[in-house]
Amino acid sequence: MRSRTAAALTASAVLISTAACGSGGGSGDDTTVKIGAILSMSGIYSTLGAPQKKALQMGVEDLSKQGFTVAGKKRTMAISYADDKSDAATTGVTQLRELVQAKKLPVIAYGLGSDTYVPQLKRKPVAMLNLIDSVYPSILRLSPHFWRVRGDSPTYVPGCFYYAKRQLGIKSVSVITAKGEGYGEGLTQLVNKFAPAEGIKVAASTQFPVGSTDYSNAIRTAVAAKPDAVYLSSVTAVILPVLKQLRQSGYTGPVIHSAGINPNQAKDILGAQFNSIMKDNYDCAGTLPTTSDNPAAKSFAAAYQARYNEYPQDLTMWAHDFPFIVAAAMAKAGTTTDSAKIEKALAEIPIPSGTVSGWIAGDGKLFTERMARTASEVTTWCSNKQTLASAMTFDVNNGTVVQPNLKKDVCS
Amino acid sequence: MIQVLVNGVFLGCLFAVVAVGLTLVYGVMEVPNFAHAGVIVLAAYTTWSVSHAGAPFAVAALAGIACGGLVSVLTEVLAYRWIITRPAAAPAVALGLLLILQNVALRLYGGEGRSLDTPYDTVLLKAGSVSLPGVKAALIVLAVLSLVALHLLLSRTSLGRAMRAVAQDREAAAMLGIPMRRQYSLAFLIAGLLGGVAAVAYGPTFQVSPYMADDVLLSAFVVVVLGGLGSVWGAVAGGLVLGVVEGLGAAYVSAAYQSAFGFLILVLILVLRPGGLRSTNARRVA
Repeated sequence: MRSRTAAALTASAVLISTAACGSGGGSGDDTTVKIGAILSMSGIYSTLGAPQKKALQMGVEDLSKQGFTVAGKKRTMAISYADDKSDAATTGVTQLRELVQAKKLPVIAYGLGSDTYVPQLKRKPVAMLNLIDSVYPSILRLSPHFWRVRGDSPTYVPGCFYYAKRQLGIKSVSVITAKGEGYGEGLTQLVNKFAPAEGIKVAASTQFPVGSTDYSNAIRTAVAAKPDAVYLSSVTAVILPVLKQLRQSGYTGPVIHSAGINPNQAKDILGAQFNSIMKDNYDCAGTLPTTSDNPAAKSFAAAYQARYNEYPQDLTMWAHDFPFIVAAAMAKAGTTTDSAKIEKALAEIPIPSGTVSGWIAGDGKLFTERMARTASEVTTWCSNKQTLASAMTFDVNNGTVVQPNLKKDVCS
Repeated sequence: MIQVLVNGVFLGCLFAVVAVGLTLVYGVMEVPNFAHAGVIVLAAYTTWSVSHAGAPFAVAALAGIACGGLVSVLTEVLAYRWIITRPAAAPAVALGLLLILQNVALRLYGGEGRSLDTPYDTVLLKAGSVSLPGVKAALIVLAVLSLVALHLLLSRTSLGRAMRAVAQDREAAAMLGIPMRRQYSLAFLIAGLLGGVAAVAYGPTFQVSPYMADDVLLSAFVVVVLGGLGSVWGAVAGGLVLGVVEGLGAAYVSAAYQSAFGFLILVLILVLRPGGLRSTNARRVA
């Protein structure tokens, strides 16, 4: 009897000590650095979160191949993923609290819902790197702990009109905006600023309430102004049904937007007619890994497509590079746990080796005013190939398009 | 102006066909059936799945409509039937069912939108300066046919008369030997079939997604109140009024506040005519 009790006590002690070890820093292996990622892996925005997670996994694997050194010790990285279920305001905030306060992770990657995280950041500051949100006005104004691993809307909207004027001969444009959808409303503000700057008249500006399913009134107003082109202001999931109804209404002219639509999404949401609906379609946004001139981005795109059998969106290459950026900041800061020091180091790091996105350095540093950016691009739909092709790459400096690289024989 | 009215009639037909399903169920069972949006979603996904598997659109549409009827009856049998004596619980149960149905769709098909292709996707009807896409014309035709069929069912058959009797006085109908449970199931079946028709007709103009019917459901509830709770023809009239008012408001004030015009007219009707356009002292299904 006594021996049984002793055995039970020993087993309990072992179990408790094992559990205690396991709950400490997330991993018993102190060479593995843990960081967090809150993504929309289920729900309506899973079209964004799922590819981000896939690309982050590829990034972590690629980083592990080369490793990184912090305070003289060789490290590897692991990401603790949390699903905000496409609901940042409730689930996302809970996940942030869990990752930062319970798991004590020093850096968090995330997608949508910046404004909902601000109160938690005030209570417990941590570096949060955004992988997708390019809304105007910028999310960076909301908190000094937000960083953006991509360019914002003003880095690509001017290119739309630069291209439209010179290559398409457009003199007037009608704008259709999703009222109540932040990204779309920001785009429209920029269109109203940059289209006239190129001498393009905004012939009509009309809106529809976000969430509505019939856009005929907004379309009718936009088309009645007889514009040379129609600009659609919103995100992919909203833009594509509007585009479909626009074409169903008989409009056959050019359509411009900044939604980052990829061929898979076009096929899924537009259906059998996607090729004809996408004709004469121009998308100005960040460079795509598939159409990029950068060999590393192209190589990543090929690897992503081969591994997941899906078209890599622009956000995938930024997500791939996130672990490299954090590793570089940790190496510079000499710590894997002190978020404040890592954040300070983020402002100072150059473009990390191993990244694929083709980052544009400002004064030799990756981040300029907490924003890292890649070149921007106008893509066009090639009906003969049923896919996108790069029509122009460019950069924007103070609202002016610089280094435009107009492509010849785009769809040939 | 004519183009605005045509758009308004299209919207009105969509609202009417959804609202009639809601008002039918409300008239018979006094349930605010929010789950109707989930029925429409599953019917649309069924149509998409069957069509995607290679079946002709007509077959896929019939499968979708049948699915709408089946899911609607299931909501009655598995949930609403158990709270018939506790009407206060009905809104909560209805919302719960809506979440369940939408999440079933989300789980099965994901959050990404899907296109419902039809043979008339590229058709554009034109008369002078007025144009109407084929998909919208099809919705108007399907809505009219469905509502005429419903009218004939309710006015010319014993089933319809029994349903109207239940709606007018449940206790008296039971004493007359009308099988109540069958009437409840029948009301949900018809509502589900109409939901299926709405899904098949309206899916091709928009996209199929788990939340595709939320906005329409909200407008349909406005229509139900506008038309008078439980009144089928009130719902039809209310649908057309709402569609045209939203169209005119969008055209002459601002398209950004299209839905707001519907709520404005709702407030006006509630103030001026609290019982709705076809107000009645008794519940009615006719």
